[in-house]
Amino acid sequence: MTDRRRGAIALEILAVLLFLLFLFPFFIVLVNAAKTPFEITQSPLTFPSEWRKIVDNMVTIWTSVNIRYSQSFLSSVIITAASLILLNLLASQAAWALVRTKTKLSTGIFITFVAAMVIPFQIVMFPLLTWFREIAQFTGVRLLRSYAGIVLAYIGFGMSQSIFMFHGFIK
Amino acid sequence: MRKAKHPPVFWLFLAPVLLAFVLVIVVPFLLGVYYSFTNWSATARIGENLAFIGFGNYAKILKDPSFAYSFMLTVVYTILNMIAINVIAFSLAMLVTQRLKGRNVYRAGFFVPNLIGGLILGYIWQFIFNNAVPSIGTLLGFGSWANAENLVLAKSTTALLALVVVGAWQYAGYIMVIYVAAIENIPQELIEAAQIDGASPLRRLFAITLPMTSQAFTITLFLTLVNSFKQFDVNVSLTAGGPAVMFMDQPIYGTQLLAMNIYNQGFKSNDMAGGQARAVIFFLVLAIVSVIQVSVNKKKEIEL
Repeated sequence: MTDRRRGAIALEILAVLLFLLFLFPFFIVLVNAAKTPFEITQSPLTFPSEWRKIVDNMVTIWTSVNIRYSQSFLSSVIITAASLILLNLLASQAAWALVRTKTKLSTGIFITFVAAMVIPFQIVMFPLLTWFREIAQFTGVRLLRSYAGIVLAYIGFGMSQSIFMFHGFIK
Repeated sequence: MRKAKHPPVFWLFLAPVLLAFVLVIVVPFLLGVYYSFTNWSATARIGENLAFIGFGNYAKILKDPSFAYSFMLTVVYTILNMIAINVIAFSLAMLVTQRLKGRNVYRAGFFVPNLIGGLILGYIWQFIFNNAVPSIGTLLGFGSWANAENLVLAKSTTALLALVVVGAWQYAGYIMVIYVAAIENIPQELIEAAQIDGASPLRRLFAITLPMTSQAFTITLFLTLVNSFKQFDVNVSLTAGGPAVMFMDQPIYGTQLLAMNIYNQGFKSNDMAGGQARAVIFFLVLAIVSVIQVSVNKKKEIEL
């Protein structure tokens, strides 16, 4: 019984050590977020001389017109929210239609979606640019350098996996 | 009246995803394959000097040492990364499915790196390899760790290992979650029966846990294979392709994986057609290898 207990404690210690090892890079980020550039290169591992500096640094990135962090942050939120909502809605309704309609065509469409998961982004990367430019010329819908374009692209790339997941779940 | 085979609601529900699929994947994919056989560039586009040149781009790639090097490097990286991620992830999954007090905390901790984008992870680790590691060396009494030529990212071999370390650190937690789900689905009576029969923990691992999680292995090996092969963002931020090495009497990027090679060929060298032909080869290799992997793994799965 004591052997078993000792084993359990050893496992717990091992887990804690691995946990700390995994989070070590975040520790580095946190302590250096409260330093000046000079302090960072001088002593990257030590605790900062003044923790209060972390607030100053944060205020700087949020307000500085050169860094424009707040603008990027807002863009990230808009793109993430729009892609997430649309992707979930569209992929779940498509998966539902594909599960409930049992025909060869329906199976074929599903297999095409799943097979498209192997298509790497790199092969559509260059043509996507010219193609989106063409679409903008013919329809007037601006897809390059716009939220609409990147959300559409995220829906296109994320759809295969989402439909695959929803399909398995609904079935 | 006969019921329609595909009611309007079927097409209504499918229309948005089909549209997105055609706009973002199908058309660019076909365009891309076509472009790879042309002289497509900044000055030559559809309706403007675009000429069909057959396999010209592909012939050029076969003679390019940087592509051959990137290809071999990517294969080595993919193998190392797949082994590292899966061994670490499975070990972690075994650990956090034991009766540990803080197992939910550990699970969350191992998963956290996956929540942050590869670009940022690369920059964090670049700082660790360039600044924190020399500091640790000085603390331990190895002052030579701080010499420029001894930095991890200064040699192409250790820089490749650094890519593997970051890749494994980023992805192991995610794969662990899949293994955890599989391990927790193993019927408890199987394990109890084995325990009563006196099977050692090692024997239980090979006779029960591994066979019972074979379905999870099909998914995890597929995900790690595809994601390692496509590695791009960590490559860009951690090593940016450097340091340079000599290969076939030419100085080339020492840690430039295939995805980055394609990107640089298209956007940095402004050779869109050449980059596109590289991408077609990249796609074919990835598709063939992953189909083989999935079918081999499928055969090894057992059904209850």
